[in-house]
Amino acid sequence: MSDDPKDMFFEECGELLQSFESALLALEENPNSADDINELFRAAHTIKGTSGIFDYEPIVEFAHYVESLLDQVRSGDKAITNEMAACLLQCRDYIAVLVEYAVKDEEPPPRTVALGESLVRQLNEFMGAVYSKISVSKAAFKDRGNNEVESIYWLISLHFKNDLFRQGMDPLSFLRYLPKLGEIIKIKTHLNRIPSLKLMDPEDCYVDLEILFDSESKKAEIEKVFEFVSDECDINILPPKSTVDQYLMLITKLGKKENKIGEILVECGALSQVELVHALEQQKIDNRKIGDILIEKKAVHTEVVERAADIQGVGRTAAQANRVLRVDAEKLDKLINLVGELVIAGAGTNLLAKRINDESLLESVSIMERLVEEIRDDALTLRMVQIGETFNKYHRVVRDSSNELGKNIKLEITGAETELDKTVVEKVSDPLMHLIRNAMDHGIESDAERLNLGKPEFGTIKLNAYHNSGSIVVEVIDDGRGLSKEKITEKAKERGLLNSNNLMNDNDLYRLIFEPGFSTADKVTNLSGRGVGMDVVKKNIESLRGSIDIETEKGVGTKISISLPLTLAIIDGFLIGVGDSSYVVPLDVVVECIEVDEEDVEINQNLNYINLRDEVLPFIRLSEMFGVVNEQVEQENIVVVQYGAEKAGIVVDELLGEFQTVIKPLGPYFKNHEAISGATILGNGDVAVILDIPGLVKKAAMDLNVKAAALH
Amino acid sequence: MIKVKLENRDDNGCALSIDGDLTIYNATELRDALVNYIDNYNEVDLDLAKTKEIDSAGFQLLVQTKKELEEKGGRFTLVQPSLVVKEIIERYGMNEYFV
Repeated sequence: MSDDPKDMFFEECGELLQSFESALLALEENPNSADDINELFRAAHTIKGTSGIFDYEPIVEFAHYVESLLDQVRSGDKAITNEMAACLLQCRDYIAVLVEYAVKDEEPPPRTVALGESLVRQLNEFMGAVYSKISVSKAAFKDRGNNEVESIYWLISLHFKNDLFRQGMDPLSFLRYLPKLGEIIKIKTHLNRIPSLKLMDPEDCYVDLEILFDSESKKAEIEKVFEFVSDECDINILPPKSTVDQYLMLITKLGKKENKIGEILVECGALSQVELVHALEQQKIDNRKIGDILIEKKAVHTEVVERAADIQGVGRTAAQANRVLRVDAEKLDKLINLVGELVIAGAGTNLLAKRINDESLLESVSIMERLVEEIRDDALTLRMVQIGETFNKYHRVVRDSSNELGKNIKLEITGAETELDKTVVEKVSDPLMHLIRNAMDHGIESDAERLNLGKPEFGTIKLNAYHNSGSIVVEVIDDGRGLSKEKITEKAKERGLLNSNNLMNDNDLYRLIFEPGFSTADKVTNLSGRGVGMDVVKKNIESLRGSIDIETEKGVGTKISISLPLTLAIIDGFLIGVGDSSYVVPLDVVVECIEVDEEDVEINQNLNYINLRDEVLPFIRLSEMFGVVNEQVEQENIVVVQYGAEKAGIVVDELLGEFQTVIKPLGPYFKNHEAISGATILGNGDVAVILDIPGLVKKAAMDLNVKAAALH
Repeated sequence: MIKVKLENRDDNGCALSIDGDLTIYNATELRDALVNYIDNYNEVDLDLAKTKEIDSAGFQLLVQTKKELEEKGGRFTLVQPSLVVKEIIERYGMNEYFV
């Protein structure tokens, strides 16, 4: 749990800005959606509240303008226009900038302030209000307008009841006593209640007083002066503006509360218990909000009540949200590392227990192992997040870029609820962004071109995510012009990647766009076309043990699929042995295991393939691949693995069974080895290599092609 | 006990002096006396040189008397107010009212 209020503030604002943006973009599609308008307003309002709580005044000030405009929208006075939406998006960005400065504790530079002022001007124009210069500096907030009382002094209002004199009391005594606590700046005596000399009761008290009082005392101390007269007098003590700031700070310090507003106000000293009791009595009569009553009675400043209400709101949300815990990602990583060690240690214990071969020990170890497995699974799901949050970011990207490009492009998202590891989500976000930009820039044709081709005017980019055998697949699909085989071939020849007689299959040809510096774009735009990026995308994806594939059809569109492992930490592995070494294959890619029996299986030892139920299955001998010296075993086994649509066999000596595999990264030395993706530690302390199945499958197919070609 | 003495008078106005405390104990008597004079005179001078005690009950009578006289176009003046009278006027912030 992050305890730094700044972090909390930053995170909270980030989320709020995100939902602000989402709601706004949704409104562009459907300008009358009440839900989205409410969401928009709520986000702006909460940003204001949260910033207030954390005392980041410039944001409060600015958000206030946004909120005011949205309030008009919400009440139906104004409709959201495209211009307004564009302006609000800018406002969102501006708030994001302010948040960053606030977190860094820096004053925004003049340029930023000027931007803010121009945005306020625009907001005011939408509202039909007069532009008033705001300053984003903190000082400006101190004299923020509060029309009720501009006073820097206490305002004490006393309304004495008729019986006061008869009770042996006299307002004069208070006036004599008060100077002990401070200075009476001004006093106004009202005797308007006297009907006339003739009609009045001379023993009745008709005095009302308003006193401007300068004092360092606390509210409770001042109130004490009038304590013994409280039954015969309505007392309202409105604190000076300076203490309002103190109250605001105090309320903030009190932190998130579920208390009633009245209690919060009493706690911070803005309201005395007596005033609260009176107000509560009043509330019983007219059933209004306590805050409204207090403001009307001039007991508390409006902003103090608002702040208390905000705090209360936050407290309430916190109460609702306390079923969800924010956890520092680092702590989670640590936990998962520990679980990893536990898994390894468990494997070691298991091994020992087997060696000792004590039945009860074995039993207890197996129970423990099952528990460890459960802990592992649960720990891993802790890191799982839905990919939708990342996807939603791209709405904005698509919107802005399509404006920039002058194309009409819409983004469709499916499978947003698909879950995957948070680290993976974070790392896949930039590559996806790049792919989307590429698709928009190069894939989707201009509006005119599309109309000529008889395609719908709106270009569509689809983002899709789904789970597929232990990995998550994210697809970026556009309905644009598709990749041009001719252009790529030409470019490849130009760059010497391809000579004229070397024929590549289409798939490999398309993959050339992932080569560094490879661009077929005719013109370079802001967005893309410089040939930088696709190689980085590929590298990023591969660093996540993922892979990337292209399908394209000329004139119809392109689909780029990214396949990623669900998690980067621990997997269910399948342990196999060759000679003295062990290897791990991720269990979810294993299709089946076959015993190599020359009688049953037609096996081609030269070309390294077998006939598996009338299918050609290329295989690889691990012993050859890794140069392991192994004695001829009686019975070789083939592990059939599948990656995507392609299958391959791995010939091994021994099948050692399921193994919980804690993935340890290998040093850069192994980085470029196509068949290795990582390593793990076995129960006996040995290291086992984790095989990179996509690499292996590809290699097996390629070897077969090469050998077959050589034969012909 | 309070005594309101008519010191002087002409057709329009009168000068009064008060002997006794302007407090709640004498408030009704004082009121009755004042009502009597403002019914008959437009301009009233009230000598408070000898006043040793005054409280808010007395004070509010003075305020109301002045108000009613002025409403009918008259005038009400405090003559030589004693220290206690000055103090209460001061405390209630009504110096200007009684100038």
